[in-house]
Amino acid sequence: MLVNKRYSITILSFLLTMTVAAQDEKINGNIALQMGSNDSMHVIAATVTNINTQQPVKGVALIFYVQRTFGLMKVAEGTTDTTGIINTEFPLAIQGSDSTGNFTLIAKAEDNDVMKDTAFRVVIKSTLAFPPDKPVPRSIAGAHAPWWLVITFIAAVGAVWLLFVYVLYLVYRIKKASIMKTISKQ
Amino acid sequence: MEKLNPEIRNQIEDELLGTVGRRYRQETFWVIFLGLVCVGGTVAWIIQLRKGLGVTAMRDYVSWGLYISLLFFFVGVSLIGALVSCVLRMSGAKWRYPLIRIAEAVTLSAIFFAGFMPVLDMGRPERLYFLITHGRIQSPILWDVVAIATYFIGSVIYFYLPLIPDLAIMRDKITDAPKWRKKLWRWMAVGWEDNLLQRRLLKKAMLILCIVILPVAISVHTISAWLIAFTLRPGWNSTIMGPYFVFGALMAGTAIMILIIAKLRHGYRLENYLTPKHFNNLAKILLALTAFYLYLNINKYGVPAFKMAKEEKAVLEDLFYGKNAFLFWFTQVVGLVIPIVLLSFKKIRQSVKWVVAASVMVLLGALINRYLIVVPNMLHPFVPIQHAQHGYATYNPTLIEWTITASSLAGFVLLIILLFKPFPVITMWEVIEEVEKRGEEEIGVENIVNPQNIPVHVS
Repeated sequence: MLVNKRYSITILSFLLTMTVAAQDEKINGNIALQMGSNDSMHVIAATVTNINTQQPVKGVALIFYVQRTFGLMKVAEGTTDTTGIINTEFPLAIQGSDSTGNFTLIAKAEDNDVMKDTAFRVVIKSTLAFPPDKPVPRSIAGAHAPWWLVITFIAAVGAVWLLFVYVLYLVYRIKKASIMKTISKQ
Repeated sequence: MEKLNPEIRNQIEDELLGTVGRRYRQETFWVIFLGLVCVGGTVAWIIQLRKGLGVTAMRDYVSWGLYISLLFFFVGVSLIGALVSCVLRMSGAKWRYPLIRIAEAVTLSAIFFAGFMPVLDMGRPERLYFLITHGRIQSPILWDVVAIATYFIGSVIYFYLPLIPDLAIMRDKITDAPKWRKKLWRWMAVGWEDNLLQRRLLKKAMLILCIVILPVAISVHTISAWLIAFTLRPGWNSTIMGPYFVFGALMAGTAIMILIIAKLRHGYRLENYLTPKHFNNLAKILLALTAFYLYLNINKYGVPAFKMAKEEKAVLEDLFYGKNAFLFWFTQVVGLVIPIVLLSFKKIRQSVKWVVAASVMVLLGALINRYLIVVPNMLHPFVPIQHAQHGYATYNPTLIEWTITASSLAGFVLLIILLFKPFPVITMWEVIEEVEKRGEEEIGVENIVNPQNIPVHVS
């Protein structure tokens, strides 16, 4: 039993050492980003290199995001090939991050076996025209209520309140129908 | 029309007038206890107003927490007035007469606090004024405010109308009341003399209001449902929400009605007026509504669960076997299935205690269900906030929220108690009139006309 316990501890120590060693083996990487476009898609070319050796790194998974007003929007992902390059693309419909045409592209390597967690951020001046401000009509919840809604609302609420007033008028008539009151007045 | 012996009539009036201003057993304790809870809630609200909504657990994900859950509960409970006063009237149920004032009092109290809950949910309540000046007619929030206000006014009028002849009886019979109270009764009784024209006008007014109040009541519940159904969230993005709210409301309202009439019956010794027949009939209604609500639940949760669409999956998993699973299955099993089984037995429906027990289960289930309608869906939006701060994606109500919520519930019960201080619990004139017309059994009352005291009916 004691032998088994010692054996277990040895195995555990070995595994821990291996894990630490593996952690140590993770390289410091550099991500170079290039961005262009074809007829229908934005095209990204990302190159991952080892900072120390300047050699391309294979098997690094990257996730690409575009900066939006309240967060990051994931647009593409990929894994580097033997030349350390990822070629990927995302729809041209995804426009720049602000009205000046700046396009903030972020590439992140997270929880990677090969490379330490790295994020690379680049602001690119897009040559594509920023979409004009054309608000999408939001059915009845738009800026102005449609006339039929206004009329329906006022008619429905008005009818109910008018009937309330009429009921109170009937209460008034109940008061007027008091015979004793009439007699005492006479 | 056969008239009751004047002596018997007097006896009934005296008995029912005996509830006015009378304290029932343990009432003082309850009034003080509920009052203290209300004071605690007011202090908590002042803290919330001073420090802002940051003292609650409501953040970007859950912006409608306990307060709005309770709004939906109160809005639901308030439908009982429409059920008893209108639906039962139209269906010709004569046994409703002793229940009318109690139902209207519950409605009045519930809709008052329903109107108060959104104000509690606002960090800056004074901005409610902007809803009047800048309200958008296409916004369900405006519809909800207008519908609640309309229903409240309608309920006040409906509470008042059947009170007029009773106020006249009080004016004429209670001689030892304080002067100001007698003056108030005289003013509110609007010169009621029980002449034919006055009766005709009163009945006409009640009929009109009965017809008007029903669509208003349904609109309040439907619009409350639309508040969430118009919001693009998993679980809310459903067409079933309107009827789901309306029938849930009827169910919760019936359950709370049973509990309140049980308490008043026992407290004021009204066993002859609120009889097992009323409990049995209300239990039948509760059984039908609970069964139908279970059917709606199967549709609401079962249909999306069968598809398990990506967007709905997270919220459904949370309810079925996640963090809220206990509450969810409690509402389904304890709040619906067990009451259905219990109330299916005639013997249980005829036992006041069992009917009350089933109602407690239904009511607890309904209360928790409102929380489950609001919170888990808010925690699982279609587009989650990336890198949300710690605590933004969870909701654990703070002590401030619990205190304010508890005080709102306490205030609701307290208002009902206080409404019966200046007015009789039972609508005297209608009960007497209907007993004269149809006899005790049809109205559901027992032994109020002692045959030994009235050898013959006088015409």
